[in-house]
Amino acid sequence: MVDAFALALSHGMLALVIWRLLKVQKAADEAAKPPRRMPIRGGRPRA
Amino acid sequence: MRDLMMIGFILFLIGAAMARPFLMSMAYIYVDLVSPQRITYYLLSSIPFSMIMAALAVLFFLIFEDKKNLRFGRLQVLMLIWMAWITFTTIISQLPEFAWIKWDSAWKSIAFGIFLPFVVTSRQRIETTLYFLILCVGVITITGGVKTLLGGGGYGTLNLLVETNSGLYESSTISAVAVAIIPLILYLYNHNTLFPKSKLLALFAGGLIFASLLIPIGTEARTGLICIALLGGMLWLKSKRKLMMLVLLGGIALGSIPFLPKSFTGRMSTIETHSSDESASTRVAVWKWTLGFVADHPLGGGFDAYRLNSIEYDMIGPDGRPKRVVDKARAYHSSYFETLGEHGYVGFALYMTMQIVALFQLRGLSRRFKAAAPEDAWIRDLATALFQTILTYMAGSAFVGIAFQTTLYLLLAIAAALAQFVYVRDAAERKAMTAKPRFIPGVGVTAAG
Repeated sequence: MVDAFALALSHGMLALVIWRLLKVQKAADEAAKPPRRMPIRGGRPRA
Repeated sequence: MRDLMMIGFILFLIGAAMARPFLMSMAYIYVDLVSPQRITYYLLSSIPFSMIMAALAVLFFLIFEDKKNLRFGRLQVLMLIWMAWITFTTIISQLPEFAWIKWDSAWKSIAFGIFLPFVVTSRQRIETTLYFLILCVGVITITGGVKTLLGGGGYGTLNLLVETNSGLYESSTISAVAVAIIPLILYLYNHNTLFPKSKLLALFAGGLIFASLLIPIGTEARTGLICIALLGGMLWLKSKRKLMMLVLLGGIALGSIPFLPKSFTGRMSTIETHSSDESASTRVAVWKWTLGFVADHPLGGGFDAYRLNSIEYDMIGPDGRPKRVVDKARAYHSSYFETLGEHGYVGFALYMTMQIVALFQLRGLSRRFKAAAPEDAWIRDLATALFQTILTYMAGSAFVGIAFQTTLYLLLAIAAALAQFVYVRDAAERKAMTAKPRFIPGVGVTAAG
């Protein structure tokens, strides 16, 4: 019972760390992407 | 159920490594420290997990990682020389049939310590490595801590998940390691970037530290008490309110004595009266044998050379009379005598140099970033925490033969990774400062950088 508790707690924390890391790094990757260029209204700009 | 849970976790870890390849190196740390193939009953025990994870870690590094700033730091060079030396002493060993077996696990620990700094190249990766180190050791300390609280302790009898008494599952080894990593737990609580500070995080960190302190009590390993004393002293020296801390720690130490098991206090008292304790008397006799052996064999006897010893020593019997004891093939019970006896004066010097260089490097980083900007305070605090951890490990390893434990090489690797991180950052800043202005068509001359 104690073994099961210890294994579950420690592995649960490890899984949480990995999940948080993936989430934080994905957010960092999104933030690092260049902003999308929006199309200009009314067609091409004049020279 | 246990098998399924561990397989599920390993598959989750491998899946995560597909998204973030450096996690494959973390998977190897997990397999090496926790040894899931030993904990599970059926499914994993027949698979060569360590080998598979190591191969995948190297493969993922070669395919996916940026190798632009690849550089061998001082610690990595020392570890490489150390690995070469122990291979040489194994070739000329006195007992090759035993020496190659131990070499087979020793070189892997050192090799991974050399490799890891190539992968752990950012603050977040250093932090992740610390999480894995602490939580993998935590698999054992949480088990041992809870069982100790429930009255299940005792020298050689505390069941730490598996029957085997080797690796981190050995009593004295886990006592030293559990106490040594306490500064790293404190560092992660204060500086981690994955979880905001909260009462839940404080509770978990506090619980883990408490479990780590219970391990020496549960295992009744004297090594653990020595580590607690040294670590307590170092934390006290660094504290800002020294008098209050002294009163608090002294009060806790004295106040807890009546609650400790009698067998624990009895065993700890033999630190002073080693002549009446057989294991301590054996230790001293083996150490004396080792000094004589290395005088005749300056290059050492190779791994497991202790099997050649046959020692006689006097101890005080239970009736108070001296008695003569004869023992054969007694282990060194000390990393220093282990390296001296197995790898000679050169090996001992290399072993000590690695750790001393790490300590000096970390102390240098602590001092350099003493008055650092808030965004760099983590470097100072991590260097200090690693310094305390490695020094505590060195103190513990004076009384147990853990010279080739993975934990030591992981700590050295993290120290090397931290130094490398600072070096690369400094190099980038120097390059930015000395860069020439550039001409860009349609824009004009830009500033440097």
